[in-house]
Amino acid sequence: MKGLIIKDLLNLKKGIGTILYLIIIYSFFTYTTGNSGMIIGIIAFLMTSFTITSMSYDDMAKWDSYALAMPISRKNIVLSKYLLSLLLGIIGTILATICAFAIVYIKGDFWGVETILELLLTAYTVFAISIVYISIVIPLIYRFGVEKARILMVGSFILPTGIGYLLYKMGFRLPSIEVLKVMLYLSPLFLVLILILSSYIAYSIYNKKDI
Amino acid sequence: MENILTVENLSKEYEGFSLDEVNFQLPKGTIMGLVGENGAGKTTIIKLILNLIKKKMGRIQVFGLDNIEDELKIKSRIGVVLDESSFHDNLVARDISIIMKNIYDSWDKDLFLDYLSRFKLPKDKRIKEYSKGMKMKLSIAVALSHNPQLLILDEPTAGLDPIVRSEILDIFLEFIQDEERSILFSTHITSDLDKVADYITFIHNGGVIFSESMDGLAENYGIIKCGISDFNKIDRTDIVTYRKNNFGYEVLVTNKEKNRYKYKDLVMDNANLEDIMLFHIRGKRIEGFNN
Repeated sequence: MKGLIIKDLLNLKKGIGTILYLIIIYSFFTYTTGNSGMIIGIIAFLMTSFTITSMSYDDMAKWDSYALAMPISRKNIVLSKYLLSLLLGIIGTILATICAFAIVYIKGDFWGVETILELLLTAYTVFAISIVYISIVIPLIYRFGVEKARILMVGSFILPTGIGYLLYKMGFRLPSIEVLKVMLYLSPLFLVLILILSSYIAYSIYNKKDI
Repeated sequence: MENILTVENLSKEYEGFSLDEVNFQLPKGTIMGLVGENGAGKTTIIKLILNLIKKKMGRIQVFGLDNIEDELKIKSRIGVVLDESSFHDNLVARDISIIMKNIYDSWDKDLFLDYLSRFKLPKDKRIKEYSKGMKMKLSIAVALSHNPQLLILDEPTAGLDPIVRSEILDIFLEFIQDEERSILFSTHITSDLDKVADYITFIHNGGVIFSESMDGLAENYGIIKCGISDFNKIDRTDIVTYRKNNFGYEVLVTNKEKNRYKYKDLVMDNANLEDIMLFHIRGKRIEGFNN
């Protein structure tokens, strides 16, 4: 397992390096626009997406058949991808949040506890969305391959947005603050559940596959 | 002699191709060549041994253990080189050592570095810039550096120049020196097998034509060259296959010594591995006889 994660990190070294440039560019944007949510959103999300890049690298090198010829189980190959996403997602969120704090502070927009809470909430929401996203995408990749899954990924964005829009048209409105708060508190549980379900599905697809 | 690998009644079905009841054994301290044309089923057999694909039926034992039940235990003791599979382009040999150290408990970094310098592989050059031969040598170095007891290699010499090929074959011979370790490798380069193989398992259309020792093959098979009248005198049961050309007939027979005596008026040549393969695949069979 450790070997697999190290393999992915070594492969992604270059890509993760470019993230540092992005952080500088977006810090600048954030500074001028004052929208500190943006930097968190983009950085955290890009970091999580590196898992998909790593899977496409594996594909190109036909790595999986080689990995499975070594003392590595199919279960660990699948789990390593989820661990990688979590790892990258957490690192990305923390990095971006620190940047956002720094910018807010430098700009003098710091209003105490409220600002901190707002930024933390943004960071958490972005992280949560990244996790949901990756939980949809990883099983799709195992089922359809990276290339086809890329197209389906776009679909996995359009669909919820479309449903949301339809609901809005049909007269649904955002629930009250109290309901949202309950949803927020329950969301970690929901995230854990979705991760377990997703990894279970991904594993059962992968386990049946001829490599 | 103790077997390191036993394959029994192994079958697998694909659309348009099936592997049918493959049987063979690989004894300790020997090299077995898995030969056959492209698409004969060599890679399928290797993938089945490694449990990369699911078998339809049959049994595979490695080191006396079931290849599925004790999969990981077995895999920590074998070194594998796959034909189409390789390392990621952006890695360097040093990275690979770090990765492998975290995969194999018995990874020997110094041994790996030894192989790298012996194969003249640069440690800090990206795999992308390696030549085909260098990539293959790297794969072999990796496969050897955790002290495996069995090497399984899919077409390790295909597409390589004769110098690199002979280097690789030398390593194979060195590997089995201690008589405890074995090698199974697939190829269609018969001259490589003439140099190193102790056993040949010949696969054709998903079935085993024969699995025999190299010495046995040399003793068993012969080729009779003759005209039509002599051809008609040969016992039909003695003919494996025959080929007809402008000068007459060439006939592949078994029991070489016995038949040399039986047909002492005819010219009997030795058959090498390539002849035997070609006769089996392209030669005509006598209707009604299946030997």
